[in-house]
Amino acid sequence: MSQSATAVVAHSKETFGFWLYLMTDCLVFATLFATFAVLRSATAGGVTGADIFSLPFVLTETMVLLASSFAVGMAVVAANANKRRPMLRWLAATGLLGAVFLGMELWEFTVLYQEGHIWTKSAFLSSYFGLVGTHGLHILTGLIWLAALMGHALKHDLSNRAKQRILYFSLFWHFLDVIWICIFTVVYLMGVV
Amino acid sequence: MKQKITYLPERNHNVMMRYLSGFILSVALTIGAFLLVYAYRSSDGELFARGVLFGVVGIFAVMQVAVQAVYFLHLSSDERTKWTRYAVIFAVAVALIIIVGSLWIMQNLNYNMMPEHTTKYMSHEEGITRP
Repeated sequence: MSQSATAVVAHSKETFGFWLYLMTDCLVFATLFATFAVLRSATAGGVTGADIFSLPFVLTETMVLLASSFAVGMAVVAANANKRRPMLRWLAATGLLGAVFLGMELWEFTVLYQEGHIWTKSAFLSSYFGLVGTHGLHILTGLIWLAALMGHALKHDLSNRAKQRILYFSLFWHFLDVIWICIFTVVYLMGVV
Repeated sequence: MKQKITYLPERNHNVMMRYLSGFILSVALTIGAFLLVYAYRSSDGELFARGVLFGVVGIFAVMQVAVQAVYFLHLSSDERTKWTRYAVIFAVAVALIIIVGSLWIMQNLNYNMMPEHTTKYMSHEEGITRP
């Protein structure tokens, strides 16, 4: 592997530390998934997933998040090539798509709330809001982190450390995408049949 | 001490192609899984069994997680990324134990805490008797 002064480091001791954080977060989601899997049929005579989920809507959400994940990848590519402006543009696209995703999720929650399908109605709904809501909170945290990164990149030239931070953020963002794929499959696809 | 560092490829075109392939594969797998469920629903479950659908959709999800791990998260079989890989394998193993274990135990509990008429059915039809 060639030693480059400017290329982004994909793996090192520091990225390993960040990976450890991601993997503990993965276990948080594993417990929430286990809870949901156990309680998914405990609807207390209320609505089931098939009654309240709209697959085309959730598919759109998934595509938006996937596109956001791709955009942050392109930001890493731009950082790897030392191109600050394109990197900022791709980061802006990432944030925009992430915000659209979060907005869609909040809209879905609002509709459920207004129809009375809230977390106190059944164990199924509690575990649903717990799992999907935790993912949404992570996305919100990621958006705040992204805003901070962009603010820094707007003011300063691209240092190697700054590029490394972009890579950490990209790992976090891709990780959330992976978690969402599992939610999409287990909660929504398997929930409507 | 020898530094154990892996850089992204210097040729940016290669990095970009990785992200692009990952994205295209992910979109294809997502739409594929969606279409399967859609076909199942519009045929009122006559196209294939529910268990088959769950299995195939589950495999699609696992494939997509693998695609994203390799193309987006840069996991590889590189000797220098050994510890990262171990951390991932450990986390996946613990996650599986938590999820499969919970389902197993709770199903068992449900089975053993069935209402009166089920207990009767069990003792008559399955030969399982209770003290």
